[in-house]
Amino acid sequence: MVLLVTSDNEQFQTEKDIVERSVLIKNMLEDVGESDQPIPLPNVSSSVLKKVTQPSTGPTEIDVRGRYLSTASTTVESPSRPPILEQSQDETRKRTTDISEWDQKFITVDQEMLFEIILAANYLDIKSLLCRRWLQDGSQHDQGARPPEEIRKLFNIVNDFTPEEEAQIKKENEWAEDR
Amino acid sequence: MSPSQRHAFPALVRKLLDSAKILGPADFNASELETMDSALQTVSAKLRGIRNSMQPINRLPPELLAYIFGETQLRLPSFLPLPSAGFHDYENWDWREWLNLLEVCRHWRGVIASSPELWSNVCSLADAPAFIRRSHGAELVVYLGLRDSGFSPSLLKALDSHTSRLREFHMRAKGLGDILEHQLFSSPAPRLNSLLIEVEAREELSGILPPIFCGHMPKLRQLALGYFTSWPKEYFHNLTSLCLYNQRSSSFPTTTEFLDFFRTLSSYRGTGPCPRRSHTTVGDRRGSSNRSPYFTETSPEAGSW
Repeated sequence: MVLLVTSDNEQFQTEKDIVERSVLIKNMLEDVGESDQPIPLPNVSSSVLKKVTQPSTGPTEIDVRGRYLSTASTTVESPSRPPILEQSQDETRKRTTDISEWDQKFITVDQEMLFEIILAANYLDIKSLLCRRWLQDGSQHDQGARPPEEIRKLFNIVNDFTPEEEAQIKKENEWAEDR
Repeated sequence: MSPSQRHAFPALVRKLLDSAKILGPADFNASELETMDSALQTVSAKLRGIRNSMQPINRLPPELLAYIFGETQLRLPSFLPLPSAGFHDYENWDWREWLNLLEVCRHWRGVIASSPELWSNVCSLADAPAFIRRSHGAELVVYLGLRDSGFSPSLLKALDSHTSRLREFHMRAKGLGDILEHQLFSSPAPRLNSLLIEVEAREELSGILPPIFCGHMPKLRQLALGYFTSWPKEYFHNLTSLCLYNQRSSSFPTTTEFLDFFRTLSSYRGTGPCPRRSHTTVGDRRGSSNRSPYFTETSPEAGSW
């Protein structure tokens, strides 16, 4: 077990294999060796650390071959797996604009928390938490980004292009529309 | 904005709304109305942009946002080709969907436009010249004819002054005449790490890879050649991965020739991955030994040579 101390001075006893998902912490542990000394995380609050270290709350990273790489410990079957993992290959290839329940839960619960998680993931160097899943179409594990309208809805963003700019963007992307 | 300006702005908007209520068709001509409409749309877009900038996602550092955007790009492994079955069916991936991000808002568009690495995957399916231009000095990963049927020779022209930036170059040529004599292949490729060249079986090439990149590919580690059975001597050193496939049976090298080549691969690790359309085969496959002082592993999918 590893003792972590957050910016609000809370202490967390966490399993080593979970905290070692963070390259920063892994390197620190390697530097100090076996020690009971707490590891301070001045840029991470307790609420964020809980999210980051909970095996079942992280998004799932998908590698290029379509295999699912759990961000949790590899031996743990996450109880809150996104529904996509329960679908057949054919089903997952179907196109839909629906946002999966799992994505809704993780992404839209709290935008501020998401912001904090991304910053913490960057600080702790946990690449899997910066994965494309947040912007990826939840129904299409082998596809790219969600449609713009869906992304705006997820992140509470509005279309701030003028009609002229939108027409220009459409024209620029004509080659990409032909698909 | 000063406090007084801040106070005045909502009042101005209210005044504008009140004025609009009494507007009639005879007050302005169409041109004047269009001009005013356009100005109002610009102001409205500005307000929406400011609102967007307050959202948590847009308060992230641009470089972090760019990293996340980069993660939405579908990337292929650097060592190609892949088997075409199942999820390896990269030819049918709609990899361009990441470009949806350009249409989300001005801020995202700006971040993407100013991140050269996001444009460094150049594919013959896309507006390749624009990608090359926007990638500035970033190392390039190029896919020509790999995920579609064929490509225009003009793409080679667009690339030919960027050979020094190539990190990966994957090309499947179908029926293109003197493609390997193009100027693109006449300059050194000092950063090239992975190379795939596949051509349709054509008698005039006789399975011989002509000189490419002046033979200067010091960082080349991964090599896949489709159709070719021989190449300029002393070209490939320090390979870690090698895939030879779709070869002409009439021009196989002898076992001795292949073993001689094999001994030059001082860092060679394996033979994977499984070729797409035919088995991997070199010389007397079953009779040859594939052991070298540096050989450490082989792919079980890679055939039996």
